[in-house]
Amino acid sequence: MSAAPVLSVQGLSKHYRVKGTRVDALAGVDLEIRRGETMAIVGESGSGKTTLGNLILGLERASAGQILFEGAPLQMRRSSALRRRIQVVQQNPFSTLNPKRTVRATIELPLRAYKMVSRDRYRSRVGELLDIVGMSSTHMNRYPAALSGGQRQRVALARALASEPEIIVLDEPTSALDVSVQARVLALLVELQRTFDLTYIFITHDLSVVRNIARRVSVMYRGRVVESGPTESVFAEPRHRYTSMLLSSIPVVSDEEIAVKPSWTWDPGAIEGQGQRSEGCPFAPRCPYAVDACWSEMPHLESLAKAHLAACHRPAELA
Amino acid sequence: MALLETTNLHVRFELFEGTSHVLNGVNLRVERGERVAVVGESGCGKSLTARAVLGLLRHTNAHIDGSVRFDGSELLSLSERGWRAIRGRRIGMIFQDPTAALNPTFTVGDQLFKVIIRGGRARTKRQAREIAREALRHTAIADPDRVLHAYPFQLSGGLAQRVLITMALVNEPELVLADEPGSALDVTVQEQTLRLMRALGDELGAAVLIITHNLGVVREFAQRVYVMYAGSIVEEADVDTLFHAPRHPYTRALLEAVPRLTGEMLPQPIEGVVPDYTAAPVGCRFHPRCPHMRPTCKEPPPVVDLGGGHRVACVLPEVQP
Repeated sequence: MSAAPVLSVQGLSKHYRVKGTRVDALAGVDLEIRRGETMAIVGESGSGKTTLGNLILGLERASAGQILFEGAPLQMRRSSALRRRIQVVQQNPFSTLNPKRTVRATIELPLRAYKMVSRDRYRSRVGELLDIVGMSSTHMNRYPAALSGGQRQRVALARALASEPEIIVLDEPTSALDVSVQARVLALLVELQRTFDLTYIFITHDLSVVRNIARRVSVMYRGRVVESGPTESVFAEPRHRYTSMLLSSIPVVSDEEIAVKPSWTWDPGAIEGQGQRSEGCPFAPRCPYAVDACWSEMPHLESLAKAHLAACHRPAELA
Repeated sequence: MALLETTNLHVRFELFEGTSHVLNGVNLRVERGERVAVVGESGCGKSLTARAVLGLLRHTNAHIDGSVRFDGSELLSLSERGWRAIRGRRIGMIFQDPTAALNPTFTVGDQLFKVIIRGGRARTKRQAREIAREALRHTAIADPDRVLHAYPFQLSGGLAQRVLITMALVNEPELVLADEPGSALDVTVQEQTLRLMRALGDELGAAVLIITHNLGVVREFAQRVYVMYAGSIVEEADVDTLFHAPRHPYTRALLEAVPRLTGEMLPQPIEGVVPDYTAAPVGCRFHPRCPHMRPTCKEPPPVVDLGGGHRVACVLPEVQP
């Protein structure tokens, strides 16, 4: 693995105004993503994970901070040549494909837009791309309505691959799929990464999905990265209590998993930290271990073990 | 006598493409106070089973055969008036998407009071308000009055889910049908939802029939489980047996497809797709995808009783460990 990150996110923030109040969707996020790796971004709804993806894709403008792509700042308005290199696969395979376009037209679009191949090769290239994602050329003239969820997600993947990108933002690529289909899409993602040396930013709310896929994980809560580190170490020794809570809320199927899940005291009154606001750690209202300092002072990401960071005032007591 | 029992339940639709046999002789049973799960992938007929049980297929083009008995009386021949005495009173319902299940044009209070008054628990709105407040407090809602005055869009998903749980349980039903409860919500909220449902169900002694695609939810919540594939029950067992000694090849495949928190394996896909019901495979409907397929699989599979309530619809449960 090369040392220099291909993508470097520095102090990235995004706020919106909602009825006059400022909402911080993203509040100063730092991340480094290396070429060919899978970085998982995990969090619940409202954690800012999709906003982060959108900023990387140039779909929104950052309020502060910057994104460096191979060392150069990446703007929201960017050249077609840059856009080509960062692609996306989104969550809902039922709404991300244009229902009025055939599979062929959908995949041809990036081929045309980025002038990937000459006009007379469009058709054969679409065939190749379908083959790469495990579909046959007979699907070429079908409309999305005639495809299953798993097939649609393959088409979305073929469309992303059409421009031969280096980075793909995967925004919940499997969460709308059945487990059996999810497994197939995950296997395909792993295979494609190996074949094309792709870098994935894998956004998900489900920690178990990324465990054997991502080398590193960043856990987000309310617009901040609260924990990040090598996947193995985050799963084995979560240092932020939000990570523990996420891990312990995954319904598991085997005794081995029950044995490794962190224990968590579920307080029904603290489900979403009803109505309380914290000036300090955003997780304090839901955290059964919060002390006074947690309510008043914002914890910063600190290195605890090798490349393992957490933003918690009392990380040691959890270990 | 079982609280709920479906016997040889068939549902078919006459479509332009042909007859679609969606449910093929579903036999399931829920005892009083028991937590039972029906698990399967989308399109396997689990939600349809719930809708048939609730009499929600009555005014559709569905053809229903078989029997659904609740506390000894047949539900399939029940009149609309008869249904009103059962739905929302003796059988409560919790649906998947809590924000879609509430009417956006009425406050939570209006909707909840109506359920309470219809259920015969109160005669006036004033009485209903008292009951509603108490019930909401019971689901760990700190400020019931704020919730009662709110419109559904003003609630978070977790709060809306708890309102739905309150609505389903406020009339102290004997059975609660929960279709993918909490699965539209964050995992932490889903976990809280399941805990709450279990605690409140136990307190009332209500039986819960939970419909889910998530095997983890089954293991955590249910005592007994039915695994459905393509409109049939392929395996039935208590939760412990199912997760430690699954016998049907589909159950095993489904378990292997779940991403794990331990081990090095990637989840394993199931080859093939769920069949088209207008041209479903004959015999065992899983046979085209089954790694253990043999010629006899093209005949209807026998239901093998392995003892202790463990039943499997497969010709070869004995050859597997």
